[in-house]
Amino acid sequence: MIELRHVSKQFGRYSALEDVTACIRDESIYGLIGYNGAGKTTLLNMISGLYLPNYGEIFIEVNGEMCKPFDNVKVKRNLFYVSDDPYYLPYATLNTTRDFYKGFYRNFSESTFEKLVKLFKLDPEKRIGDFSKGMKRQAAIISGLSSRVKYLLLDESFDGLDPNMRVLVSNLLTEYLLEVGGTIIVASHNLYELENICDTIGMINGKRMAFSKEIEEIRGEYKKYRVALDKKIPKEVFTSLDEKNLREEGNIYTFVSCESEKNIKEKLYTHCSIILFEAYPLALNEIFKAEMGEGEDEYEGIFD
Amino acid sequence: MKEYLINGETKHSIKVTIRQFLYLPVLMTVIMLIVLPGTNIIMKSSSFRLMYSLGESIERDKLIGFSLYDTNQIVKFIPYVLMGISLVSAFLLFRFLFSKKAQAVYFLTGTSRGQLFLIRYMFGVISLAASVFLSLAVSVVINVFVSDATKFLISNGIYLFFAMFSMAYCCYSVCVVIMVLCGRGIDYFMSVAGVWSARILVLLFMQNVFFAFLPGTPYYFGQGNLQAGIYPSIFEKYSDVSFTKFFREIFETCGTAYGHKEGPDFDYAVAQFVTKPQMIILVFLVGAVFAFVGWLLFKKRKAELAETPSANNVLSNAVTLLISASIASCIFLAGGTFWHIVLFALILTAVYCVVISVFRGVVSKLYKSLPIPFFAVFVCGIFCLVCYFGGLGYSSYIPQIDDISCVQISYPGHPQYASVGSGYSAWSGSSYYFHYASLDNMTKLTEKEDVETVIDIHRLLIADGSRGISDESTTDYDETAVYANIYITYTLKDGSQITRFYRTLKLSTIFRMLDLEFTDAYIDLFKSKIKYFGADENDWTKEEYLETLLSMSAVYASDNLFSNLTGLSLTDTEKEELFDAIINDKSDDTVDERYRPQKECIGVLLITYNGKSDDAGDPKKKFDYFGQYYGTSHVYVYEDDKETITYLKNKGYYDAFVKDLTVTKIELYEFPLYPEEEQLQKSAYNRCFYSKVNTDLTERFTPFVRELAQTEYNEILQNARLTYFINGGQLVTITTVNSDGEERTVTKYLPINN
Repeated sequence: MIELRHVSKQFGRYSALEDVTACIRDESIYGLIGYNGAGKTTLLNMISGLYLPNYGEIFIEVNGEMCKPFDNVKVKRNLFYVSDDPYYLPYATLNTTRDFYKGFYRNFSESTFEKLVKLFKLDPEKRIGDFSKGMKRQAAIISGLSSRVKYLLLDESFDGLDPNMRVLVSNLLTEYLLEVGGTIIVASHNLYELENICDTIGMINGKRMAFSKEIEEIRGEYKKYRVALDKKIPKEVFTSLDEKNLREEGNIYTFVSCESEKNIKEKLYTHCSIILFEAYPLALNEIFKAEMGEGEDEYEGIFD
Repeated sequence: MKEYLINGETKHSIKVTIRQFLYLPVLMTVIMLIVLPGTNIIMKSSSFRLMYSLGESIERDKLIGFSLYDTNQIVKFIPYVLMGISLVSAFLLFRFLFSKKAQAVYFLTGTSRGQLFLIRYMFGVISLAASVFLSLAVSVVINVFVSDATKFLISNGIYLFFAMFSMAYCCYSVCVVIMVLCGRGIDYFMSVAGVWSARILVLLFMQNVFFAFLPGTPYYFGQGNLQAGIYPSIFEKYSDVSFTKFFREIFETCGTAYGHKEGPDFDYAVAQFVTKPQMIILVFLVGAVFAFVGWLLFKKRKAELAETPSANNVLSNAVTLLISASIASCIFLAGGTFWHIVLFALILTAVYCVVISVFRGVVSKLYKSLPIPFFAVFVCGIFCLVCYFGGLGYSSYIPQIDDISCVQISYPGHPQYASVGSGYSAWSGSSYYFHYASLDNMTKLTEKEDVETVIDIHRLLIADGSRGISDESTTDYDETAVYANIYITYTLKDGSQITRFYRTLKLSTIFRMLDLEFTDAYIDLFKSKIKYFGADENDWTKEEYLETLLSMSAVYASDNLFSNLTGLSLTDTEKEELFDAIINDKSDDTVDERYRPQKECIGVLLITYNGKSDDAGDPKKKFDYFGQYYGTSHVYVYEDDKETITYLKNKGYYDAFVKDLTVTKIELYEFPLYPEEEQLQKSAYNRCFYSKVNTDLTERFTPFVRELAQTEYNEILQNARLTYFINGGQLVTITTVNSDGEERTVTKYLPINN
């Protein structure tokens, strides 16, 4: 289990994260989402023990003990961090990388490593420096999965992978959870992959944790509504429904809301009659967009 | 302690480090092998050569010696080589701190930060030790084969190992601390350069500020020019605290020894083994303290500093300010006016902006940093002001007369007057007409009266202010300030010394200083110099020197227009009698008689040191020949030099002073005389004029020349002087033809009151 308590991080005068609180349970894949520069990598760096938070505390459970991760050897033995730009020793090959990590991770599995190398069809003797960006990412994922640690942190690990590889990595993470257990945190923009594999999603918005919930709970909460009314009503009515992304076409309104269908209907009936009322489940990327408050972008005139 | 026990991860980390950096000790060893035994063999060390040449002159079995490396040339570079490999080792071993990617791996895998630091740090230390040890061991083994000094070789080898290792270790530890503080390679190298040269930069800044603002300070940067002193610079004064110099001296002393088995040279070299162990241990301990600091900083280092420009603002700003302030302070060598301070502020700010931009990797938003150089300018300005107003009493301090044991002062007169071998024409070439005295002639004055005289002069120098020289257009001659370089050193009764230096002074003060020449101490010196000058510096006894002087010197006599040169045939005894007569006459001179004679001299005695060995005695030889070789002394004889005149009359040589000539032309040259040589004109050095023969003034002074009518000749001939302490007068050239038809031109000085 990983527990974040009111964690904040500042770089000089710039505040990267503010008051982040979350609990990441064991035996789960946790998806960390947020727009570029939201602070996902900073949060992972703090969870891994690389950065020290300015305020708040982080605890990681190791052998029943809640440990602070910064420079903690116990945490280091049980955590592997696949960064968004992985580092390899000079002139490293996959085999030398295996030898490097093997000595630091007591559960490191050479057989898993070899199987993964075959699965990804990489040359273990070739210099990693000569690999493509995607192959370097694969090499890092191979190292992380082979270490068989309790906590596996992946930062933008789907980036640079082709569609087949994304599926493969998604499946491998699910398999890892089933076989090895532990906790996997995946920070990504690729919401499609996350939606399929994650149990829990944490979204960072405006330097803060917008929510950190089970994915089923999110799906249950966020719905897209399409209603046809007998007359036009003021927008303030929808605002009171905590709507997001309201669109209006005549008397037909489309919006996203976390309110229950019953509450919405009751509020609308106080102003008008409902001719049509439809509710649809949302995909993760739609929830992301709704939560981020994305409006219509104006493209016209950019290339004039 | 638990985390520092050797567990699996630690062992693995050690293995990884060794595998990754195995090349480092190999590379360092190769470098040290080249520097120590390599160059010794390649250059065929002069120490070896000396050893062998000594072996030829004494019995081989009595010869003992060794040379671990070249102690003449290469030894100068050994400290820098050790510093260099320390710098590079620290960089390579801790380079991962400058990469976000790399440090994420090293900080998050296996070992704690403390262990990681120790593993890497110790690898560097062991590599340094191994490279120094192996290279010295090879040197020792080579020497074992060619010398019989095995026992001493090993002891000196061990001592040198500890000395070299301590130095490298200390440098390495400092570099590691800087590595931990920095975020980029360029920051590291600039910071190391700044920290290592901090002492020099601070001294340079202080020296330049003192030079411009603090009258009396004796330390100067430049030497050998008219504005700088001959006293040690502030660098040299404090060079004893130099880290590299301390070790270089050990390396020079202990790297070689040769001689008889029980000879003093060899014993001396071997004895160095026990001379400075405390300092070496101290340096090692300082290194250990830095290592501890590095370890603490490493454990707490913020990972986000990697790749961050100017990660440690305090360090980068301190280094930048040191560099910019010391560079900007060089403007004070040109003067210490308000405008120099303004220029200093501008240069400091500009250099600060450039250097800090390199630290920060960007030029934009520099304005945000400007308060820092402005603050530095403010602090420097206060420092300058404190100096300007006397450095808290430093400038005006004169010890109590009762506390003074003796005092020495340099002054622009010439007590070596008339001394053979260092006559005042010795230095000058044909282009110069003014005496350029060496001001380092500092006789000790111990009599209370003499000390009071110096204190009076010191007060005048303080009043003069040493603030710069006068404008060329000045007409008040006594108030004119010129360059001088005057040192006063008080030795107090408790043995301590206080030295003050004055760069400029007024001409009136210079003339006052000539009083010094008539103190008992200087009169004794004067007497001694005529007969014994150079005895000490040649390691001769006075008797030996006088004997040589008498046997080799030749004396000539001439009239005061050098129309006739007569060689005097004197025995050694007669020469000594003549010298004694000159001493007796000249030592009683007054200031005016010696430097501002009121009457024309009646003749000149020329004493040359090489007269018998070449054709200088040839009457046809031009007189200025004497001024260009070996220093011929011109002794100007006046009517009141009774003993000299009597002696010459008794010997029948007085007639040589009688003129046998016709004046054909006199030209007058207006003062100032050296328009294109401002420095000389503005210097106290050229106050003392002496006459020259057959030199052409027209080339330089044609715009100032005026030919005189014959009616003016008599007045000029009466008033022109062969020597004078000049006060803004004029030069005249007098052309004559003697009875043999030889034409000769003599340059004389015409004082301003004429």
